[in-house]
Amino acid sequence: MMRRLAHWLALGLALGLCALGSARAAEPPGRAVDAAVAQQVLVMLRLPSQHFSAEVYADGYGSGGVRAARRRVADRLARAHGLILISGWPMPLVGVDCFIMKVPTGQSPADAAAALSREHEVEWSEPVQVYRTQGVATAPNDPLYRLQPAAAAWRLADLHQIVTGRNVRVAVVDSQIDARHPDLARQIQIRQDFVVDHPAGAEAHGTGVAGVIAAVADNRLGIVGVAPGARLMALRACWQAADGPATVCDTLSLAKALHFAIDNGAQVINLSLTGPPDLLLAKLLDIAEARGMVVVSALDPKLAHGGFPASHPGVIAVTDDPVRRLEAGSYLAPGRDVPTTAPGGGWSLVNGSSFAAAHVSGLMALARERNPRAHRPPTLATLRSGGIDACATVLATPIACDDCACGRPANYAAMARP
Amino acid sequence: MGVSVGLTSDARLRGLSLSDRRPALNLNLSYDHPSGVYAGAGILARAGFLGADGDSAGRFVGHNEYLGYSGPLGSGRSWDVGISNQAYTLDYERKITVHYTEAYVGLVQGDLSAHVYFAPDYPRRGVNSAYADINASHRFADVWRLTGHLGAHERLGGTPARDGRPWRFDTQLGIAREFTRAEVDLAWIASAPGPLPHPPQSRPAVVLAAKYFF
Repeated sequence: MMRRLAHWLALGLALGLCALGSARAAEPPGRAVDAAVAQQVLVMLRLPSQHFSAEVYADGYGSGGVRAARRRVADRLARAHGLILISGWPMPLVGVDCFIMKVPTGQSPADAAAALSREHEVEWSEPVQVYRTQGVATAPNDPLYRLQPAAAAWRLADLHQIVTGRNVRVAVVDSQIDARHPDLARQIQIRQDFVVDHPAGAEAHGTGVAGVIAAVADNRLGIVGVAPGARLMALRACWQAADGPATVCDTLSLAKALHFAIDNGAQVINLSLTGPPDLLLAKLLDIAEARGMVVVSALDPKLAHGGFPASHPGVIAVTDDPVRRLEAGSYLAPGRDVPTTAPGGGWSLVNGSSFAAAHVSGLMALARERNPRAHRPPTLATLRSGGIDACATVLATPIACDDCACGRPANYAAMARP
Repeated sequence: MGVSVGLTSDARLRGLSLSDRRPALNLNLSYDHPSGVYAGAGILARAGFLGADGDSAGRFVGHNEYLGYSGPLGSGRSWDVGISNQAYTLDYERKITVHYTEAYVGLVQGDLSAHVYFAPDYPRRGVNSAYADINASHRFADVWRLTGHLGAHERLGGTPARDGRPWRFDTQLGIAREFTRAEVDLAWIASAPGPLPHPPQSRPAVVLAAKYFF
């Protein structure tokens, strides 16, 4: 009786997943969000190096009279250019205090940024860009481990016999992760919200990405993350658009989250999103790479060079599309019909490069556990088929997975010793 | 140029109350040149109007000035060198003058800084003083910071302090709430051991301070 019931449940689950898998999301809307963000510029004022102050027990960058003075300068610049000063955020890693200003309708943000850049107090100014995540979660379901593409393609169970990404800090710069999800609750080390004016509970994209990277293993629930031993830094820089499933971010929220990730010692930074090139974000990515952090980004085939930050030197660009991989010289990872965590404690099927990038971030966490002090990102080994050889990547060996005894723990363990 | 005015329930310098543990007003100026040169000055007065305390109400307590240079080391790190002057007259049971000029050098990484200071001929001619401190702050939310300070002061040469101890420590733990043009700080400040057994001017205190930035 129980066997029959299990059979019907499995069949129902498979049908449900197939139905969801065929429901690929179309181009996300969120145009209203774009319009609001597109009418803003970022203005960078030079941030002096922090130094002694005679004010007793003086403190950090975000306070004090000098910061107020910079705000006064920003205020004056905004008035002189007919803009509205919204807020500011110090970025000491880049050496600037970043102010965000609203450009009146009918005025071009690009022109406003160009005019502001000519002011002698301004390091540079740029229009606020919009970034989109590269994947959409579908309705909740109850997936199983064996349905995870990486379970077979990357032999996750075998890999986890030698590494789980134990205590590797992975920054997920994304929408709000469901911190109460039973497959994620123990995995989140730090939570920070850098989004202004878009308060939200748990959101689909961030929760899905986090699950692919680090869902709890062996808890008899849902899925297994690629790096179940990793510790997540849940950094909300994106938000789900009110008028659809699209998840968007802007330059300042991303810069704040990146700055936090770098400052707090992330070892892997996952950016499952794309958009246009940006100088502020580029400087932060350069600092992350100089500190030996691994940055993984999704690739958008519709944008030139796969979009930014995937196109930035040193960033590992990942797609779920084998054809696009050849064109853009990026890496191919599982990103289609992937079961992962969903807000509210459930699971769902997801598609897109976002989740392919999340797989690679998890894999980088596994490799980092083996070599935590490396100054360079682990080298991704590829198969003739174009996919990633997860085993060879983790073991840092040029030998293909089939030749290095994946699935044979005794041999695997012997090879695993550096 | 930055200008700020502040009101504090007790103005403290390295654990020592400058205002006889009473409210005080301060005015501070600061300037940063793009070359890395910076300077600042401040004055401190008792806020007598808050608690009419006899003839010392509203009295001028002292001033400070500093001039320095800060250079970047990359990735948010910087080094720092300069001189500062502190001059205060404390009016307790008897008048105490706190007046010294010191040179300092330090390193700053993000919200963590460490400095070493050297003051010749202080507290008296022929006796020098060294001070070292670590300051830290942690922003745990957009407008909230935790702050911390640990300092150690040592007399170099001359006759020992009254209690015979060459070292004196001071510490501060606080929380700060930022507003667009203002800030409110609440801090616990203590120092030990003092030059006298539990002198009133260095007893631990919880201090509330508000600053407005022009």
